[in-house]
Amino acid sequence: MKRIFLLHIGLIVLLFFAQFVLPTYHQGVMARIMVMAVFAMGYNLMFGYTGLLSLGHAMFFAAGMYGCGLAIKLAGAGVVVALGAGLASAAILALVVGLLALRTIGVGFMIVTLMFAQTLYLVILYFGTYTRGDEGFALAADSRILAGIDLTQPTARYFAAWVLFSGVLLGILALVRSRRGRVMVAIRENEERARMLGYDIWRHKLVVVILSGTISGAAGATYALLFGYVGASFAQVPYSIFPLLWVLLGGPGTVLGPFIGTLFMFYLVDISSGLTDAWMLVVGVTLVLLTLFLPKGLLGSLRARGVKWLV
Amino acid sequence: MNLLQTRALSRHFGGLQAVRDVDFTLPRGQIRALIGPNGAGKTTFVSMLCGRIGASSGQVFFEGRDITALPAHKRIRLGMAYTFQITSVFADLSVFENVALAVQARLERGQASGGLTGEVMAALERVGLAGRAEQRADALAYGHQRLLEIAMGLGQRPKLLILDEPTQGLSDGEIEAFIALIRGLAGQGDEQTTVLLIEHNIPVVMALAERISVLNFGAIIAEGSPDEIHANGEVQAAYLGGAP
Repeated sequence: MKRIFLLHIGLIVLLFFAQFVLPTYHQGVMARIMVMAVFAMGYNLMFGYTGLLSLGHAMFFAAGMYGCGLAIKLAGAGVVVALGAGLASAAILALVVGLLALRTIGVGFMIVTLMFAQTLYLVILYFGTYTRGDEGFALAADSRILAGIDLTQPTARYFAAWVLFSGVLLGILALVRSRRGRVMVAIRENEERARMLGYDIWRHKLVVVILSGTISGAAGATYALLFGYVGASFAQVPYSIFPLLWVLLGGPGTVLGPFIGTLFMFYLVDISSGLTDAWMLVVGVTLVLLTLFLPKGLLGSLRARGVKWLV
Repeated sequence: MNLLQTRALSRHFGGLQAVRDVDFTLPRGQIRALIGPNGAGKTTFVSMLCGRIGASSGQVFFEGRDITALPAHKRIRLGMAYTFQITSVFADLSVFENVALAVQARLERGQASGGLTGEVMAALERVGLAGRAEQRADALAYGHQRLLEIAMGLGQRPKLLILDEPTQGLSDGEIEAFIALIRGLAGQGDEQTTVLLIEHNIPVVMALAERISVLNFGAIIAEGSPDEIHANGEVQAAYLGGAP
């Protein structure tokens, strides 16, 4: 069981030292990837581990982002308070959405989460006086300083993203290897059987929705702080589809899958768009091929082919 | 003392009366068989006992307490276990983890005795699957999946164990071992388990049951010792379709 820890710690160490060798451009890209991977890791808790397919995760990312951004813009909050406001916004939203959406299952759940996300998007537009609607707003550089560290600087930004990523990665690794994690997988595999072993399925699902929403919200809040922009585009449908895509690519129900999927997708777009104008075709064909030949995602397929110790 | 009792328990699906006005009592420590032709309502009846489906009318009492309104997971926590007729294990998890899920649900409620691993392995040992603990559940042969179901039931250490056609698909040797296992369960002093067994295999019923209840068209038509049921004309008629 030690190699599983070596693998995850190894990645964290690798990412830490990567900042010293990466060119500035790629340092920025990697910081973004780590934050977005956290978004996807939150999504994976629901979709990959518990079998709850949400089509509205943009709302949690946006709740974190706006909770944090508005606290700074409207109340002049410091970074720590703003982060807390972002997390609290996402957690409360997840609680409310969970309480309502978990009355449905399957396709119903997908539709209800999609509708809630659209509602949040419209709410952001409606309160344009404060949110500046579609345009969004920038966070002033002097409001993005954490304990004397200027989060607008590339190195500090990379380090902050790395801290968030590492913490969430290890937390999720511990969770999915715990007894609660085992119950999550049991619900995914056979909900009725889990219920007949005495588990309160509804309560377990609600906890997962809150954890998932809060983690995705943490990514949104951090994104606002590190990149200085809060915009309604992050609450739109594409940002509900991205985490699903990243998780599917990397491997649902694997701890590293969301990171691998996010990394792969960012660089696939980055490299192909540098080579040709028809980059969307390249991306599309690659995704179709991957779905055809690696339906369980990159890591999921690896696990199915013998690397059984991956979790 | 009665562990389980039902009063006028009924269930209909649309116009179909699957179970009608069943008054049923099960004393603590007994091994009871529930038999009857296909479609007699046996699975519907026990599903109402453990809460998988709700009753249309009537009441269920467990240890003297009215549990009719309790959801399934709360009834399980009171000490019931149900093993599924159609094998229903967690396919993607190992044999060990399947049983661990059964054991840890009880440990979380503070009903701990040994450690998780020890209890899981003990349950697997009793059904003869200890050597396959690390295999994936869906890699097991059908008969072994049935045994895994039973091991999960054992891991729950229930007061009432409801087995829905447990020997279906088992070999003769496995059936022998199963009979010995269930006898051992019911015989244990302090942690005596009451067993309610739905079974089509009549030799198994005759070997295990202290009493037999016969269900036909959703109603109990006879109840008695194996010998009495064997001699009962109405039961013969229900099974063979002849005039009583």
